[in-house]
This record gives sequence, C-alpha cells and structure tokens, in this order.
Amino acid sequence: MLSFIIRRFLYMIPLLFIISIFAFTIVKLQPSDIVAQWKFNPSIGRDLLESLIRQFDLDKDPVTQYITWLRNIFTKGDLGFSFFNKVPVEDYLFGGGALLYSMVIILATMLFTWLIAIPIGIYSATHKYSFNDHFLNFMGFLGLSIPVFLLAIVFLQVMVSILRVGSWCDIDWLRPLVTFFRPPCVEISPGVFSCEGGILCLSKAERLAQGYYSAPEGLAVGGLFANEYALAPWSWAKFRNFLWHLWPVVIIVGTANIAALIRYMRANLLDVLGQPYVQTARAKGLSERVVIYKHAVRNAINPLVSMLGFWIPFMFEGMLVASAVMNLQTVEVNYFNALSTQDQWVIMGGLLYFGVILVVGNLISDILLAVVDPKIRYD
Amino acid sequence: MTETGSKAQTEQVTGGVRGAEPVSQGRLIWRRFKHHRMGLFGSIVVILFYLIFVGFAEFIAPYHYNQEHRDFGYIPPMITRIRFWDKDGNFSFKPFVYGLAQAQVYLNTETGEQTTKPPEGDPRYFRQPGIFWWEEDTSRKCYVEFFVRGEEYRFWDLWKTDLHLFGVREAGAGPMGKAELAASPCQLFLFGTNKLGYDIFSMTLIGGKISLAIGPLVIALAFILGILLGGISGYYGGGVDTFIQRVIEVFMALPRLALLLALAVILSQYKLSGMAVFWGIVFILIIVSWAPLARVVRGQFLALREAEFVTAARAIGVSDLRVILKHILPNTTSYLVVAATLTIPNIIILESTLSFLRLGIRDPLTSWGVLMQAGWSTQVIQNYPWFLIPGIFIVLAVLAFNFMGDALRDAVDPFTVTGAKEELA
Repeated sequence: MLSFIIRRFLYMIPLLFIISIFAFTIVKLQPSDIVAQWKFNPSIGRDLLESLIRQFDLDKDPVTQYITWLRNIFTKGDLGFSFFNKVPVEDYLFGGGALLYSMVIILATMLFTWLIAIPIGIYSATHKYSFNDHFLNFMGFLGLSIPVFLLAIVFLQVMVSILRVGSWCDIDWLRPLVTFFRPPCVEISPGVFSCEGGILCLSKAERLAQGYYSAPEGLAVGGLFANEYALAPWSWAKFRNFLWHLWPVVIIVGTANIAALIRYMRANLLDVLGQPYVQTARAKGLSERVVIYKHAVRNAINPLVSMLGFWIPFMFEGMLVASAVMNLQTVEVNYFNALSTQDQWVIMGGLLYFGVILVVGNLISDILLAVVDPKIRYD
Repeated sequence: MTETGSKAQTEQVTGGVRGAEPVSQGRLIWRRFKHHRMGLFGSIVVILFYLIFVGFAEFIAPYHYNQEHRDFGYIPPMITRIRFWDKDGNFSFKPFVYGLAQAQVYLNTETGEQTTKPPEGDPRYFRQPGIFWWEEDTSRKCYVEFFVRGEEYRFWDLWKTDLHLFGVREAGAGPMGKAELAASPCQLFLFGTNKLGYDIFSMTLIGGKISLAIGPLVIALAFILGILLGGISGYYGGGVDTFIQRVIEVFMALPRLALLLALAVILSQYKLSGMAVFWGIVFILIIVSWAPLARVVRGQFLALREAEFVTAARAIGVSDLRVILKHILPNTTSYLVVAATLTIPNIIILESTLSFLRLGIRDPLTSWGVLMQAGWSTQVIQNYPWFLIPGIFIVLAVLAFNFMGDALRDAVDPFTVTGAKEELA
C-alpha cells in the first residue's frame, strides 16, 4: 500500500513539471514585454525592479528564466513577485486566509453534495420509473445545464429582491435569524449602542420610536463576511457571520455536482442491483433494506470515489466562477483579479496552483479507491 | 436467376421471418431514439433554436442589435403587453400594444409608496426628479405588422436590407421615415430595453447566433485534430500510440477553466477586433476540448483495427489513409456524433462563462454570455430583472442538447443503456 502511494506520488512529478511548462509558455506568449513596461512605470521603484530582474533572470533568455523560476520555487518556495500589488506571489494568492477559505468552501461543498446526492440517487434507483424518479432526473438535467455564473446571479437576485434579506429586521419572526448571524449592538447605556460588527436590529415600531428612520442593513449577500467582520480577528460572532455567507456559495458551487452525482449513483446502483449476488441475497430472504444498504449501495459507491479526482477540479472550476461573481476572498478570486491586471507571475503561480489541485485530487481519489475497494491491486 | 438468388439470400438473412426486412444500423438507432420522448423533444428544440438564432436571427429581430434608442431606456418587457382586446373590450384579430408614455414618479414620504398618479393637492407626495416609469398610452394603438421596413442590417453579412419579420405601426398613421419611426412612441421591445435603449430581444437573437454556432464549430475543428491524432494513435498502436496517449493525458490533466481564462487574457492582448476575436475564442476552446474527443476516437479505432473488414481491406492493398477514412471512420460515426452532442453543451457553457467574465466575445459582437454581464450587479437586477432573460436561453439550449445527447447515447449503444440493463434486473 505504501509503495503504491509512493509510486502514485512520483507519477505526479512529471505531470506537474509539464503543467509548469504550460503555465510559463502561456504567460510568455503575451505580445508585450512586461519588464519594459514596468521600467517606464513610476509606481515601481528602480531598485526593486533591478533586484527583481537579477533575482529572476528577467534579462536572460526564456529557458533561463523558466529554470530560475522553478529553482526559486523548489529552493525557497518563492513563486515570484506580484508587480501590480508589490507583494510576493504566495502572499498575494494565498494570503489573508484565502487558501483556508478556498479549502473550507470546497470541503463544505463536497460534504454537502455527497450528503444530498447519495440518498437521492438511492431513492431514484429504488423507485425507478416512478413519477419522483422522472422528476428528479429532470431536475438533475436542469442542475447540469445551468452555468455557475448564471446560478450565482439568479441566487443573488432571489436573495436580494424576492427574499429581501436586507430588510429582515422589520419582520418579527425573522429577527432572531438576523441577530444570530449578525449579532445585535450592545446597549451600553440607555439609548447608546455599541456596534462592533453588530447591527441595530429593532422592530420597526421600536426603531421609529427611538428615532432611527432608515431601516438597518440586515443580512447581506456576496463576499464571505459582512464588512465589519472583514478585518476583525476570528471570534464566535465572526464565525456565525461566515456561516451565513457560506451556504449560498456551497449551493451554487455544489448544484452541478449534485446533479451529476445523482445520475451516477442511480446508474451504478441499478447496475449493482442487477448483479447475481443481489438476487442471491434476496433469495436468502434478506430484508430489502439489508439487500440495498448492505449489499448494493456499498458497491455502488466505489465508482463514485474513483471519480473524486474528476469532481475536485470540477468544483474548483465552479468556485473560480462563483468567487468572481460573488467576490469571495478566495485564492480563485485573487487569480481572477491577476488576470485582469496581467500580473504574469501571479498567473503562472495560479495555474500551478490549479495544476496541483488537479493532480492531488487524482492522488486522493486513487488512494481512497484503494482503501475502499479491496479488489484494486496496488502493484 | 439472379433475382431469385437474392430473394433467397434475403430470406436466409432475416431467418425466413415473413415481413421482416433487413434493417440498417441507422434505422435501428432511429427506432430506439424515437422512443426517448425527452430526447426527441430536445432535438426539436435544438433544430428550432438553430433555425431561429443561427439561421434568421437578424431577420426575426425587430431592431438592429447594436442600435441604441436613447429615448427608450429601461423599458420593461412588452411581451406581456401584447393585446387582442382594447380597453373598451373591442376585439381585434391583429395583436397590438399601446404606445409608450413616460410618467413622472411621485414619492409618498410617509409610507415610502411610489406612484405616478398622486392624489390632487396631497402635500405628502413629492416629485422625484429624473425618475420615470413607463406606462401605456391607451390613446395610441400600435398594431403588430409582418414584413415591415425598419432599421438596416446585413443579412448573413452578405447583403444589406431593412426588412424585418415583424414590427409595430401606429394605427392610422401614414408611412413614416426612419427618424420618425425611431422617435415614435409605438415601439415593440419584447424583452425590454437596457439603459441606452438597446432592444434585449434583438440582442438575445443575435447573441444566440454566436453562442450556438461556436459549439458545433469548435467540435468540428477539434474532431479534425482528434481524428488525426486519435486515429493515428489507435490505428498504428505501439510507440506512436504511447506517445500520443501521454500527450492526450497531459492535455486532459490541465486545469481547464483556469487555463482557458489565462489563454483568453493573452488573446485579448493581441488587439484583435470583430470576427478575429470570435476565431481566437474558437481556437482556445479547441485547445481545452480536443483531448477527450481524441481519446474517444482512439478507443474506437483500437477496437476496429482488428476487425475482419479492415484486415480484408488491407489484404487487397488499400492504403492506410483510405482504410482510416473509408473503412474505419464511417463505422465510428455514431459514437463520434454522441460524443459531439454531449460536448457541445459544455462548449456553450464555457463560451458564455468566458464572455460573462469579460474575457470572451467583445463588442461589436455579442453573445448570451456578454448579455449576462448586465446582471452582475445586484443593484441592477433588483430594479431591472428582465436583464436576465438571455440567461433562460442559455439554460434551454444546454438542456436541449443534454437531452438529445443522452437519448442519442442510449440509441447508439443499446448495451450500456440503463433501460436495457434494468430489464435484466
């Protein structure tokens, strides 16, 4: 088993190497000479530019530049320098908790998709050709057919103008929800409120009586935190606020995955249910519940695990789009912003990041499959 | 003599069953396909969409897609305002809309209520300068006419014309010039207008042209590459196969969307304009989508290369190229068609995502993704939800293609059909 993991790990290296060549070549394909442009740009200091040119061999030929870039990554973990933001690439891409948020969102999405999709897939397969099966099948197709950006926009639209989450303070039974996700202001002395990240979530009558005419800003959509919490240190209140901003992202990124997973789960389970050993289990007189959950479902899930290497990059694609639309503070949005400023090292670093995600996703799925499916040979 | 011989042969082939004709592969596929109701429905929608959006978009559009009408900004969709009965209950066979009228908005400062008709002399209502609503001017009836002259456009980019499928004309008004038509309150903005009065219905039609055309175009070109590389790989095998397989693997292991965005950024720096942008987008979409197709081709070639008819063709000295193109390729068509149909929706989604993120199709061209850019801000979608209408068409087109592809796959390969398997269960 260990040798299997090591071998798969070694297999990653040439692939990552080729991805790095791709990343470098693509960025070098741009028609304009970035260094020449920055030489005439007063926003970057002469000395800094000189030292960068020396450090990354920018005055040498592309091959030397590529080798220097790789060497810096391996020896110092240095991905380069963001010209536009004047910080090292790794700080720009992963800094400010971006990497953490990306991983949290992906994990939450994965958990969510599997928790929703597997039971639905089982239901669909065990009730095949029923009305509900057809309905779920159609919903699955629909989920696969909505581009992530469109889903994000529609979701924002529904939250803002139909559910009106911004004005929930004025609705009595929704007020506890607002005060849970955005803690209310503390009344330090009569009529004086201290609002650190909180809001003055009073009922409409109270509000008018106290002389606050404009409605308080209730729950917001987009971003990962309300403005007040963006720079605040982690606290229970900030975490609760994070949860409020997390769930739409999870649904938006997860929908296409859920749709695809349901279809795979249904097909796999139907496949397994047709196997002779399931017939045998039924013939033995086992209850239907045992047949399905103990004999069939376990075997039907294995192929899904092997597709994890496909799901992970797929989710990151969805998150790239969702982050751009909803302005989440993730690695993906940093990459996207670097694209518009044509920040070459950030683009290279970002491509490498996505490459690593992809390769690691494949590795994880291979290892997991070897763990769950004893039929897989390691050698 | 020959006639009786062939008859006997037919009988032998069909096992002597009376009334059973030998059926071609194509007929078998069609038989299975037509039982798939959603698939059939999807294909009809696909054909209709291509006729409407790719075939006759400019002609159907009542306005030029890139023409502003500054006097008619932010008009809500008029598709629900088309009437057959007028305000007095009189029926007319010709559908009509009422003329457009701008109405000043007044705000009740106590209740926050907005209205265009405040009670006379009520001091609580304040005029909101610069804020207007569009209302129906019931004194003007604008009948929907067919084959009318309107804004000029180039049909299929070949010849200039100003003939449109439909438009509205005011009842009782004489013939009008171009300027009068543009200023007339008789307008038909089916899906509403944006800030500068661009007609969203016309933009949706023209946008669909690029969004729908790009899928088959990319697939066709990617298939040429795929058949070339996948064919060589599967047909010759050995070292060539291993090498091409590695190349395909690498391309499949690239982060698709991130790469596409990076390529689009590089492309945007080459200061392309007009159709060159379109072909650039096609090119980068091919880069990220050819590899899986090549793999499908290779698998098929690998399976067929040992078939008897291929050996026979080789034995009589047919050249490799001819074997590939004439003997193997036609046998893989059905699988390639399925692979294409299932890939096209992905291409449509990728293109619209790219355009939506402002890295794809650019002005003066437009696509559904470009049109969706207007919906990026919540401020806008809160007030003008009709900006999202083009998005419905993205979903419909992708959905139709998915249904069609699913049904085709089931029809072409009956042994992997879930239905066939379920019969065994």
